[in-house]
Amino acid sequence: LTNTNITDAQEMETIWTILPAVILILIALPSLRILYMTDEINNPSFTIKSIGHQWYWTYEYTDYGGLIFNSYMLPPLFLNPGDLRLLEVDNRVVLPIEAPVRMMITSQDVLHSWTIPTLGLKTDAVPGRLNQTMFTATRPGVYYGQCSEICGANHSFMPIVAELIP
Amino acid sequence: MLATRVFSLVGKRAISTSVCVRAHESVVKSEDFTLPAYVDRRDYPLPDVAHVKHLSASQKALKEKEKASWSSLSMDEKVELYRIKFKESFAEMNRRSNEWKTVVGTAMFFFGITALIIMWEKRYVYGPLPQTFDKEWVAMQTKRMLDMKVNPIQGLASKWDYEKNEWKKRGQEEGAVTPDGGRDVCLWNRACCTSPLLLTWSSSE
Repeated sequence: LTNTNITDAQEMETIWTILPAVILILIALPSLRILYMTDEINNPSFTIKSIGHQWYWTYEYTDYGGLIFNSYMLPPLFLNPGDLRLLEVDNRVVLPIEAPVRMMITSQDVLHSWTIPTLGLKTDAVPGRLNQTMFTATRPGVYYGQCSEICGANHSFMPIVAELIP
Repeated sequence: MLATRVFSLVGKRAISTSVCVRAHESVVKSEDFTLPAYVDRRDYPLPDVAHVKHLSASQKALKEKEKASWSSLSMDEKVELYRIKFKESFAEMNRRSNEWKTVVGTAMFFFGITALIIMWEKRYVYGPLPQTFDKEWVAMQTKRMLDMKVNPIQGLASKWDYEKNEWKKRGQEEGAVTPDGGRDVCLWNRACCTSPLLLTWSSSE
């Protein structure tokens, strides 16, 4: 490291330190701006609360009245023929299509995560905190997801099923 | 006797150690590992000490002869000098062996034992598969998924021909270009639509 061929090039060293730093700043600032822009302004027509428990979900439809229900996984013995094991629930979350929906997600006890991969949704359910996710579905159907944050013995057995109806 | 004139730490330790070794040669059988040792290694071509430590009379004479011109040494004497300094030549130390056969054989033996253990486990430990793995159930499940149009763009429902009510043939899938009818569908497409549930229900059904 004391070879005279590689010492004493202060100007070059300054340039190739400052220039990349400048370039990175020029990349970072628009990138951050765009990141926040992707959080669309949705004007949701419908708000649903989803509360994670060990080991089931509670859904609250409180916009137009007070509908609150629990959603437990169907044990394999209770399945109808053709059902998906470990994915079916007794009460599905029924949602409208082509309407912006806001999901407020939280937890009663430990961390959970409310996920429906085919709708591109994954939001952590943090106790003491209200997280929000918004989506507008276009296709009707039944969409499945599973709890995505380790939450105890039955973490694999608390699925989420959304039934989207026209 | 000893290199007592070199007063480095190692030297001092080596001095005292070798004094102890020489004094208690009857008790201390092996040399201390702190003393320089001879090694036959590809990556250490010049070992710290010579192979033969205690020269016989003929070897001592040969060493004296070595101090003169080397052209007067015969081939055998040169080899003898080499063997004094080195235990194995490079060719010898790098020779192949049949050890790999032993290793591979032992590994396969343990594979076999593991297979036996797994077979025993499947028979005596595991319970039966859930009924959702039955062929009929999987058929009903698949039908339901197709009715729901699960993953209709690139996944499961995109592989089903809804007009003909059968699985699409290769090359018919959405997005696959078939100018000559022979182009293969991209392989990752298959991976993304094949779930463990459907592995028993291939497109041949």
